[in-house]
Order: sequence, then structure tokens, then C-alpha cells
Amino acid sequence: MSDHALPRVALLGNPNCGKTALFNLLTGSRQKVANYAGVTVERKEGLFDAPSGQRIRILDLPGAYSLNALSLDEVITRDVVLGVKEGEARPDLLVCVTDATNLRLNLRLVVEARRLGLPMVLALNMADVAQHRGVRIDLAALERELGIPVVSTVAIRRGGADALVAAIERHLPERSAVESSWKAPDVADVAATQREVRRILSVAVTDPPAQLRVDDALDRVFLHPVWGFAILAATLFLMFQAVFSWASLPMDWIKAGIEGTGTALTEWLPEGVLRSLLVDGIVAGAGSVVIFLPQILILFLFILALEDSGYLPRAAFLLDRPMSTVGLSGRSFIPLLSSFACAVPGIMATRNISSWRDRLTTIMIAPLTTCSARLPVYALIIGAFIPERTVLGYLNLQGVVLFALYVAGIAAAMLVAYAIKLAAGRKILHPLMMELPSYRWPNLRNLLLGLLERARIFLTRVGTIILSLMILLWFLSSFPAPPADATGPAIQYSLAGMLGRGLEVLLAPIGFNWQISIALIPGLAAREVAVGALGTVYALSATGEDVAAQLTPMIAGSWSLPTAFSLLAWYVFAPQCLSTLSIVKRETNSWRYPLIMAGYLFALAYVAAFITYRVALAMTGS
Amino acid sequence: MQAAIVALIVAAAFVYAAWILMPGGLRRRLAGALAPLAPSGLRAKLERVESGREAPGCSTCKACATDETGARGAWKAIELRRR
Repeated sequence: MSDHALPRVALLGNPNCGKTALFNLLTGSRQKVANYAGVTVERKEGLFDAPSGQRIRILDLPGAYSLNALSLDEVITRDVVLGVKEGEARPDLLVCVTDATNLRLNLRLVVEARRLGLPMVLALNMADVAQHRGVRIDLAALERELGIPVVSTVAIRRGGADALVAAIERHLPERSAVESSWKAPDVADVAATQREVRRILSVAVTDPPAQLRVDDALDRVFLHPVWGFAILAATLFLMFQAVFSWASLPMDWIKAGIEGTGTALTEWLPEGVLRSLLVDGIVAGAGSVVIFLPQILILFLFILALEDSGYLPRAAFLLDRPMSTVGLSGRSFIPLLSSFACAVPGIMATRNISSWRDRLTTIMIAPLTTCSARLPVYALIIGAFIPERTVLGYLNLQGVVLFALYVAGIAAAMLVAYAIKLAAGRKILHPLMMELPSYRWPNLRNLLLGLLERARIFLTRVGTIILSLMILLWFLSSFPAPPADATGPAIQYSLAGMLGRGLEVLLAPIGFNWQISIALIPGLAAREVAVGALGTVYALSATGEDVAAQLTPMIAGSWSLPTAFSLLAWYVFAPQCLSTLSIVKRETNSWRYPLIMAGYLFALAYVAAFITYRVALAMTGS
Repeated sequence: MQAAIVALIVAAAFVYAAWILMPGGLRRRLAGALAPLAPSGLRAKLERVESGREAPGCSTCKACATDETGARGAWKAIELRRR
């Protein structure tokens, strides 16, 4: 039997109800991932075998809160369920997946879908978590009130979907001849749906009341129009203080290890190109990036802890009003927050923004939030030029400067959003509707696993793309060899040296020397590569041998303060890495927006660096 | 001898960087062309690249991969806020 003749089951459910985990549990590796035609919404289809041997096709529909679609994801889900999506046959059976810990929200879609008259099975996912939290669900009563079969599932446990598979097989009809009809609900319909959900809940579900009371009390503080903002600002400030204050000791250990490696290689290997590659290219280049691992982990420790505690959605809720003044909504907060880690997932997270204009604005400003790859660049320059001392009694000055750079990025993002709002004119307002999780203490295991994952990602980047670019940069910086009568360092006569001197003409007005000009080019691949590139370039420029991991004192001695400030200003706006531009192309399905993005960011970076350099020159009298 | 080792390392770095940084469409086509020629272990990886299941552009950053298996908080009711 061909796959197309197999019975079709579709998984329907709210975002974050564990639908995809259930899909993965059922299909294992037998799944195909593609996009729905002409849009960037992911289509996941797979196969699984029922115990009887019956093979079944299963489609993981995009998450939806309602069939009354507000987002592109919901439009596709609705059209597939109704059988009007071009190229998609209507499912023979709908499996409504719900988060058993939050039936108040999830049942709304179930009640809507039930009206279509399609064969349905309800899967109460995360049933174990609901039970652990004291949510009592009477399955028989729920089945009776909804009029459809109900089963419990635990999508993250092997065998957690066995009851569902059996129910699917039992209730899978012969090719369905049901004609489903649907009309967009009006206000009365929505109210009727809510009443029906409340009625069913009152009969079949008993919630534990204590947690909600605690949450409400905490929300009165954390969502307070004044105290809420003060707590948010203080939390972020503490985070950046910690990045510098807590990281110095482990950074010293890593630095000592890298210096020791460089020295050992210098002593162990005979002089030649291999020693130069290892010491000047790899140890000085990639090693100077590894040093910043502790700072990145401290930043992510805070982000993960805030996420795990349930605070982040509150921050989005809190920021909805100020963000609306610049033409955004709280919906943009999570994508923008993700962009502090990396703009790529941040831009992908904009798919949940229903308004195309809001989505495009969020995509265009996401690169202005400071991604973690910029942290090594900031930390290097701050470490070299900002003295490590306390101000106002207890504040770390370097941490204050880092906080200011992050604020500058946020302010720039808001200004650009405001400019887009002015240029685009009035827009339709979309009310913010979001789920607020219960507060809880961050789980230590989750935090450790999250930090290990971030460390793995960072070290993999250092060991792969950064290492390979450092090797190539070393090659370009070492060849061709200098002429016999050369007076300066060999790198000046190399390909990279010539390129750097050519770019210096363009970048000298903003205070950049030829070494910085060289470093900016590989920095387009990944921003932290700029630090490694500076390490390699200065190692090859130096006449002494003990230069590995000595980048900070080197640039402190060779750059002026205006140049350092200018480079910081450049990196607040710095044109994007190639991965970000490529994801913008993919998400907007056009080259127009990545080109506009690259152009406006480059222009902003140049102008900001120019102004910063000139003002700093005037103030320092250089 | 040192020069030969360095040449190999630089060539490998060039191939790797070009593979990672080349446009995604070109990489997928190239993976499709190379997959039949590759040994079985590498073939599976090339097929994943060809089908677009590898993360876009930055292959080491899996942050954009969807994972709904993690523990979730207990969700509360929808809140509507008037502007």
C-alpha cells in the first residue's frame, strides 16, 4: 500500500502542549520535515504502526489556540482540519492534544474542533505532571461531557502513548465521509465556548487552589506598574554586574592554561610554519575566544534561571505597554529576548507574531539586541580600557559599562522600531494574549543541563568554525612571506596585511587601524571570531614570542581610548553575521529585507562609531 | 614535513569553512550530489543536510531546533490587557 492510501491522523493542539514530543514518540525517525507550500511554517508528517500492524500516517499540525485564526500557523491548522488546504487531504481522525495541567486554556480548541463533527480522540498530555500538581481529572466524566474518547499520555516517557495508539486504532473510521462545516465565531459564539469549557471543567476537573493564590500575590509585585519595572531593571543590572564580578577567577585559570599551552608548544616544537600555526594561529586565535566562556555561562545562568522560574513571560507582559509606544507589542519580547542569546532563534521565534508588520519590525530590530557572540568583544575591550574598580561603593565599573552597552542596544532597537512605526503609519492593534506559567524555584538539574548545553555550543563553535577561520586567517596573515629587505613584521606583507591596509582607508575616519580592519572580516562569519582574529593578527605582528593569550594588554598598549570606544559603538550596531542574514532571507522569503538590514546596520554602525570617535578625540584632546 | 602538515590542515580548514558558510541551497544541492558517493556514516549526515533537517547556516548552533520535551511550568489562565 502506498503511503498516500494509508489512514491519516492529525495532531491538533495549543502551542507548548507537548504535541511535537508526542509526534516524535509515535514516529521516532520515520518522519519528514518540510515547509507548507509558499510559507515558512513547518510541516511534519510521519508514520507509525499500530499493535495490529496497521500503518498510519500522522501529521503534526502547527500549534493553534483557536480555529478562528490570528496567526499564519493557525490559518494553516484550520485549513488542514477543514480539508481546504491545497495539496492536503482532510484527516480521517483528529487527535486533540491538551496540556493536562492547563485544561482551562486547552479545552477551548477541543470544544471548537468538536463542532466540526470529525472523528476525534482527546489526549491528556503531561498527565503525570498534572497528577503531581494535584490536578484531579475524572476521565469518565470528561469523556461523557465531551462525547469523545479521552486517554492520558506522557509524551516524554517510553510507552507513554500506548493508550493513545490503541484509541486511535479503535476509533479510526473507514475513509471518513463526514462533511465538516465551519464559520468564524462571533462574540456570542466565543462566550458560549468559554461557558461550555467552564461547565465541563466544573464537572470533570478539580484544580489545587494554593498555587494560584501564591502566583497572584507575587504577580501583584512583579507586574506592578512601578515596582515591576524597578525589579526588572535591578535584575538585569545584577546580571551584568555578575558577568564581570564572578567570572574573573575562572577566566584567570583558563588564561593561565592557554599561556602554558603556548609556551609549551614554543619550547617543544622547532621553529617553523607548524609552530607558527599552532602558537600564533590556533592558541592565540581560538584561545583568546575560549577565555570568555565563564562570562557567557554566567549570562546564561541568569537567563535560564529567570526562564525556569516563570518570570520571563511576566517581563513580556510588563513590557507590552512601553513596547506599544514604539509600535511593537509584548509578543515581540520573547523573540527579542531570545536574540540576546543568538539572533537566529530569535528571528525564528517571530513566527508566533500574528501581525506581519509587527513581525517584520521585530525581525529588523532583533540584531540590535546584544547576542552572546558580542560579549567576548565587549569584554575584551572593557577589560583593556575600563579600570577594574568599584563605583558608588559597591558597583563594578566594568559591569556598569557592559550594562550600558546592552541598554544602548535595546535603546537603538526601540528607536529603529519607532522609526519604522512612523514610516509605516497607523496599524491595527492586536491585544496581547499570553500564558503565564506558575512561579517556581529554578530546577538545579535544568540549570546545569542548560549551562552544559551552552558550554557545549560555545566550545563546539570554537573548535569548528572559529578554529577553521583562525587557521585560514593565519594562512592569509603569513603568506606571501616578506621580502628579504623587510623591516616591519611579516604580516604587513601578507595578503591579510594588504587587505587590512586597503580597508584602513575606509575605516581610519572612525579610528580603526589595519589590525582591526582585518579582524572585522572574519567577524562577519561569527562575531566572536573578531576577538580570535585580533589575537592572531597581534600575535603575528609582535616581535616577542610570549604573546599567546596576552591580547588584552597588547590592545591596551596600542589602541587609543577613542579607538576602543569607537569599536564598542561599532559593535552595538555591527552589521550582522551571515547566519542571521540568511535566516532573515528564509523567514521573509526575499532578499530585500536582509539587504535592507545589512545596509541600515552598517550605516548606523559607521555613523555611531564616527561620532563616538570624534567626540572621544575632542574630550581626551588626543 | 612541517609544510606538508600545515598544507593539509589549511586545506581541511578551507573545506570546512566553505561548507559551513556557503548558501544553504547550494549546500543542500552539493550534499545531494555527494551523498551517493559517500561512505554510509557520512551519507546519513549528507542526506540530513539535503533534506534541510540540519540547522540553517550555523550548523553548530542548535538553538533553533524545536524541542517540546522539556518540563513546562503550570500554565495559568489567559490574561487580557487593555492598552
